[in-house]
Amino acid sequence: MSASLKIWLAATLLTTGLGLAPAQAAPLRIAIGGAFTSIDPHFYNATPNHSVAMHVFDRLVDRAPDVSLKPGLALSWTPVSDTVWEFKLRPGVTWHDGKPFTADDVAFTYQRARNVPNSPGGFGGFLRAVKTVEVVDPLTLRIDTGEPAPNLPRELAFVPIVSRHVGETATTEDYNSGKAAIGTGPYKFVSQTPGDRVEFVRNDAWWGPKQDWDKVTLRMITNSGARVAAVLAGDVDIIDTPPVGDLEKLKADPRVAVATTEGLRVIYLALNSLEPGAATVTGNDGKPLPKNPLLDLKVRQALSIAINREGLADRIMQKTARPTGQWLPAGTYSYAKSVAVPANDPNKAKALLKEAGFPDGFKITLFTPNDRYPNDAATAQAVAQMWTRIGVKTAVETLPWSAYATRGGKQEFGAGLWGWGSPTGEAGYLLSNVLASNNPSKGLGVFNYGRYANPTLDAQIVQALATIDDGKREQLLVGAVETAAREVPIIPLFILDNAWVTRKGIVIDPRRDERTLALDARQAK
Amino acid sequence: MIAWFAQRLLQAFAVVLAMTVIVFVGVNVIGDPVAVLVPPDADQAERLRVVAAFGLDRPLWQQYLSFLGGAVRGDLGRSFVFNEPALRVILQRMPATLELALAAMLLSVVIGIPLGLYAGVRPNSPVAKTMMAGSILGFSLPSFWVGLLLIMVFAVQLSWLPAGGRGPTRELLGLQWSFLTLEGLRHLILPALNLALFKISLVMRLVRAETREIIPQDYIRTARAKGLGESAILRVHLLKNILIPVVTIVGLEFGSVIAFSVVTETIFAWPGMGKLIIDSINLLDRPMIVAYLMVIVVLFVVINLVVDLIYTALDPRVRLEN
Repeated sequence: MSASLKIWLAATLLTTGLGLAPAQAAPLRIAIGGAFTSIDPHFYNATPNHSVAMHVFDRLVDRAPDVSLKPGLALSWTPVSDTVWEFKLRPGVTWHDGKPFTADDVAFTYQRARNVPNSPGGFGGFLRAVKTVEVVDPLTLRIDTGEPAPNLPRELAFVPIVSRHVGETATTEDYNSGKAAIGTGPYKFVSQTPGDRVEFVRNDAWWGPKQDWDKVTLRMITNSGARVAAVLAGDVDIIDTPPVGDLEKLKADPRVAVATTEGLRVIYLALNSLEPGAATVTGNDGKPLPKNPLLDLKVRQALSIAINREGLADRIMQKTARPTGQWLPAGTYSYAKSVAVPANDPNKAKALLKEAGFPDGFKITLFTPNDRYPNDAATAQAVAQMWTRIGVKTAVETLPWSAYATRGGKQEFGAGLWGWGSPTGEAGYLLSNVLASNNPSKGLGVFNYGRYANPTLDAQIVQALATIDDGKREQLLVGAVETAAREVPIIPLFILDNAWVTRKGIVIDPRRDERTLALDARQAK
Repeated sequence: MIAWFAQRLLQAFAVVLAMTVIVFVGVNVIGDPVAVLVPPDADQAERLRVVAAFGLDRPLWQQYLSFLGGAVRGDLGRSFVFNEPALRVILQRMPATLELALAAMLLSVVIGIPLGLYAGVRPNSPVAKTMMAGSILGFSLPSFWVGLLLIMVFAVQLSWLPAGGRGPTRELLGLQWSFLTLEGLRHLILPALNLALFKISLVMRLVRAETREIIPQDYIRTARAKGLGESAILRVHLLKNILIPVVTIVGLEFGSVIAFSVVTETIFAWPGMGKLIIDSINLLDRPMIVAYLMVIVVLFVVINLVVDLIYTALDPRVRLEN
């Protein structure tokens, strides 16, 4: 090779190298509607807090926007036995302060995350299965779960990893001040103004793909009108949860683009299954009925098929929700292809009521929060009209969430409208929390608001949750979903879409899990 | 003076104490913060841990007494949601709200008084009539609607001003203020104007009414008769006499702007205290609600004190002793 050729080669390499090296010096400004309360990643388990934490901290197991699992700080995870999982960690990862990341940091994290002082509900739930954490070597970790825990990798995808050397003495306030906000993630924490914004800069030493943004500002604008105005005015580049009524207009606006995906949150009706039932379920004369009609399968089926789900999704939700007879979007792990959206059939519903011994129907009050889910009260009103049409005279009572949650927890409602997100992206999460018989000591049916109880379904749920093999577990879960569709313990209505609005020129991958991350955004090519 | 002050202090103390009882009982009736705060998948042990950590497992009177004990030592409790002392969270937000409130009150006085004077002195001029008609709009248009309109016009359509948020801040007296930076001022204009619109109309109408009442009085006529210039009459004889009701109203309005500018703060995403109280009520963050309302009571007491002091400066006949 001649000297000139060498020089030419070197020069080419250098220039192409340089061509890539200067970072696109673009800042990204995001506005989210939820209120984040802390920089401490283990303080409060809520979507806005996760959105903030995921910029600074990594998880052992990561999730793609469609919530399928992918390697995070762990490169692989395998069950060694029914009760032990082994995680191989990513080599060469460093903390933002330059110290190396090791398995010991993970062991520390899993102990800290469940014991954050004064936490209003943190990460204990995700770590319930973790009995002991064994550090085999700096890059290998074994987690003993005591009993089979097939969902462990999915659950660990929620727990941000902090370091032992900073975290051991750090309090929540140290995270908020930035002193302890040291992660391994794609962005470094710069500052926060409580109730207003958090600022990040890119971490050039991150192990993942190079990020488009050198600076990220995450603002909170809780009023949806103000959020839309901010993106239209160009004050911010991305907003989440645009108001349902504005979507059509925004789609037509040349300044912005809308990205949507089917989410993981189902809106459903819970029916009171206690005996005696709720005081708000009565005969047509207003007197208590001898037996709670909601215990009759035919009545529940009638109430379900009396509802025109397409109409709700199309009109009330203005095409921002999709009708469903289960609770996960098609294509997700453990989605039951065999369960169709219950067809709307008022005549059959009337016939079923007659067979059940209620030819003239009965009276019921449908409770709903009015500040919790998009168009929650409007949905309840529409359902009430559909029920009244088949003879079940339905009154609607709306309550603010703070009062609604309290009364619902005391089984005061005959029928109530609820939403449930399946953050794990599999059917078992709703099954075990919402449909299993109420058994708090075992952590089952904690959110079974109607106190529905069905031993067959319980057995199916327990068996599925103890099966490690992914394929076999999916079959069992689908079986349980089918039972639920047959027995109608709850009446699923629709699954909410998640939507984001971006300035033209910026693309974001819409996430099923509602989080808003700079990692999913890039400049349009 | 000292006796008056001591009496005032005692009154304030009683008001604050009554407030804590009302708020404590009231907030307790609304709902269960644990049901709202605890994430859906928390198990029973987790719930019990949270209940114990918040001290909600004790009877209400015990919770109240331990709150009072803390309050005496300047500790108004710890926010459930932020895990920081409630008072600190409030004080962090206070400069944002204060500068917004001050800017709005300044606008209302600087614009409202001269316009009101003009309308009072020349009640029949077309300009005055137009102004009075305009002030009715200022009164009757709901501020959330005006706020959205301001954003649509000045931020979205014309792109002159930012749609919301607070600009960069600079430190003064240990607190962060945004009016010290140019970008901060630009952010301040729309929300301050939105908040001021109602107050401008209020001050204007008040000043006009007072002026109309005083102009025909004997001492004004005397002043005119002895050949005093019109501007001197306005400044010395008229303005001083109409200011007492104006100061009262401005003082009260100032308090309510600080405490309850929720709508404007929400629409303009202004990180002040008004938004804080609404968020806290929605999440049933009891220590925050109680601490906030106590701060507001103290604020009102202080404002009333200042108003009384201004009275004596304006009118030598007013004495502080009863």
